[in-house]
Amino acid sequence: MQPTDEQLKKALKHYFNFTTFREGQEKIIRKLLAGESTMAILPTGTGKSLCYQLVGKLLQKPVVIISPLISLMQDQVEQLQFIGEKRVIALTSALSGRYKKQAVANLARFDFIYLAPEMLNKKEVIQALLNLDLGLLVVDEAHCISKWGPDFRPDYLGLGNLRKQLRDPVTLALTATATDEVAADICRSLFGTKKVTVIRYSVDRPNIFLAVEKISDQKEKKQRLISLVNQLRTPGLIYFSSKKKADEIADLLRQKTMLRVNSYHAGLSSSDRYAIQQQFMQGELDVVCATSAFGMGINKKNIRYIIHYHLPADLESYLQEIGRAGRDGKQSIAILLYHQNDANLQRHLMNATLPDNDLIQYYMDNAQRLTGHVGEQGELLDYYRKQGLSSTAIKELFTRRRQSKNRNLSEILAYINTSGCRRRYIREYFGEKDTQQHNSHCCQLLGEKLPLEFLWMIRDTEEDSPEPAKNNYRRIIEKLFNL
Amino acid sequence: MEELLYFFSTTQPRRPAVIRQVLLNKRTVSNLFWGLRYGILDWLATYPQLQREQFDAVIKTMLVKGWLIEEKQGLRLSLAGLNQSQAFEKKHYRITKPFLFSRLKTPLWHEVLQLLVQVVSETSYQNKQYYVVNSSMQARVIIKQWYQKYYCKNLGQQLGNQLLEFLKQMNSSDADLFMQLFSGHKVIAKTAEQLAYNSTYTGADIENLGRDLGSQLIDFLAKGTSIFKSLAQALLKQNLLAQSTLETYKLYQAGIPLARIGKMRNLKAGTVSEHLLEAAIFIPEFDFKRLLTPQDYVLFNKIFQGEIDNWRYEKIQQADPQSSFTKFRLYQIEQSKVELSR
Ligand SMILES: [Zn+2]
Repeated sequence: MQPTDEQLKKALKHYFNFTTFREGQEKIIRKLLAGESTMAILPTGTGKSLCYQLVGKLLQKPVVIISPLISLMQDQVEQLQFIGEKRVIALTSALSGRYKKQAVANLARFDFIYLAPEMLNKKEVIQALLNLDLGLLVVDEAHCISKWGPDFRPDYLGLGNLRKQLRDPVTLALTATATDEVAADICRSLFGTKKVTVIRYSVDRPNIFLAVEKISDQKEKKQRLISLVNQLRTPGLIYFSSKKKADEIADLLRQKTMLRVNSYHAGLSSSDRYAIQQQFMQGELDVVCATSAFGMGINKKNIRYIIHYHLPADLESYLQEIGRAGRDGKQSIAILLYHQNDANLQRHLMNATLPDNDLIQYYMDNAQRLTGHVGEQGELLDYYRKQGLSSTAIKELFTRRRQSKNRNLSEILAYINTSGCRRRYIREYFGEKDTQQHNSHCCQLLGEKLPLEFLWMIRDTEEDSPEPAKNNYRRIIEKLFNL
Repeated sequence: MEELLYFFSTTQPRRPAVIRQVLLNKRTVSNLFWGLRYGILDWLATYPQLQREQFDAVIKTMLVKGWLIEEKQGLRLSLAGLNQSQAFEKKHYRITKPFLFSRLKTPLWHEVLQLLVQVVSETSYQNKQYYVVNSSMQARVIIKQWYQKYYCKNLGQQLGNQLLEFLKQMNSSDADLFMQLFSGHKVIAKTAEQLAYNSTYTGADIENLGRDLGSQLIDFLAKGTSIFKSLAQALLKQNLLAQSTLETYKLYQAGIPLARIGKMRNLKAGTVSEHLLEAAIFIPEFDFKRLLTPQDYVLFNKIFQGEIDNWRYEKIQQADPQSSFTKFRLYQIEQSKVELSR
């Protein structure tokens, strides 16, 4: 299928009410419509999902999307329902038994089928997929195959086999950030030796100013954060690596600033998560203190700053997270607050998620007895054991993981300590050679002060939080039901 | 969690494990019987998320503070504990209709209520594009089916009127808080924690308020005559008994002998007895006379007097080795009910 430019534009307007494509979208869509599998590396916020949604619409065939995070899928399902798409389903282990069975039996009735990777272990799901006249297979967050796979999503490793089983359907592998090495790794596990088109758009977002602030003690870090939050234009997003810290700092900021601040993390109930996400989207919150659980599917255009209170896991995650700022193209800023103990905290988290040799040996010696009783680490070990790997092989695998995690940490530390242009460092890391010259709108060099005024990033205090509405129940009811 | 003090008594020593299991809705005959004796069965299922570690830690603190006193048969509320409990009650929200909680299908009712308000609100503005509040597939199906059947032009007017009528019976500041827990057209819910910033209540209080008023609202709609009646009824359990217990009880009501019930349902005699004891606790018109003979009554009456908590099965065993534990417990339940009705 090869539609004319006009036909494509018309479809875009009809289904999504947009008049122009964003960079990369059209090229990807055309490749897929021509029946070519594609790997697309697009920064967050560039409308990756639109690519496969439009292809599904044009082909009039079901699209299967494999996505690693249930929360993310839920968001996308909601986005599709938001644009009026009713024939969408998310098959996750969260779905209750009866509905899951019903949904699997009626899979062909859906246009967009989101699948959690663990669902691919179910025979009846595979059978239902085999019976579909599949238009497109999408592997979202494809870097999980290479990076997260061994950590959290062993099911992702079986995706290459699934493709074969499904008779080699046209496939779109999507990720926001991938080095050449990671991209090659993804292609190898998904497509084997087959050549596929790789489409890459720059990870660089010129309107996000890059900065690092080194802090000499933890107490000062809080003070510095308060002072930044008090100055910066809102809305803003602050990332933490622990739920407890996110809560604690949100409380602190509520006390020390005039802003509307809330925390957001996986520990909240689903209705609270919905409320906070919506409040932030609609401008009822100025600042959200979040863990990485926040923002996966969020599409807010005017986030002015992203502050990292703790170290991100790696540069890929960092780029994804700061990429949520400035989607309206206006000046925004990413600030990483760094205290030297932060690196230790990161090493500690690493050790907590990766089993060491003793634990691996113990598990393998007692596998029958331990199956299902040792949590996340055990699940992972169990998967490898069932794949027939020996203890030695598994130990090697995790040693490599640990090494690669240590490397990720060093890369982040190198970014923090680089004496050169931070933007150039990132572009080079992701294999982009065509570096532009550093200038005063680009980044803060090591030791320089933050040029907030120069960047026009200081908040007008006059535009501070409006008075909260009167909350009389009669008035709320009148407003809710248009009385 | 200082509200746990509400469940202790200054006169009757109580076992914390029983209280915890009642709040969690863990139904063993022993829990239910002692829940009946403590007078706390109305609170079944009011704290379905209660964590054991947290509960134990709170009780331990209360012992250390001297609010609870350890005795042979359990823990008793001290005078200091009573004062503390009363002081706590003055400052915090206390659930007013706890008995509704065990009648509701949880967490379905909450999701359906949230969805209902959102869907009707958006319909009132003819808006079809919105982010649906987080809800299970089951809740969405229920709302969809209801909507297809009952859609009409003034849906918003009708739900608004029902809410106004329901809330005018409530304390108005509680009603104000309650309505802020809903999302709809260009209205986003506040979290309980957020409402607590500008209130004398804590986040936990507001959560309790939301559950209390929410369950009363469903009860109100289910008893009314509005187009929301069938929807609300679908969120209520038909019966307080567990399904298997109910089946046994129905056969019992039909006059079938216990031994045959066991055979028909493929249950051990002990299980049949447990089902009947559960039914005896919950069903107001339970017929004790079919299981206890006039001779039983004469004997029990002679042996057991005074505080029911202190009656011991061993005593009846000595007097009549034939008498079963089930009969003894039935008599205790019946007498407890008599005592409660006084
Ligand atoms: Zn630079």
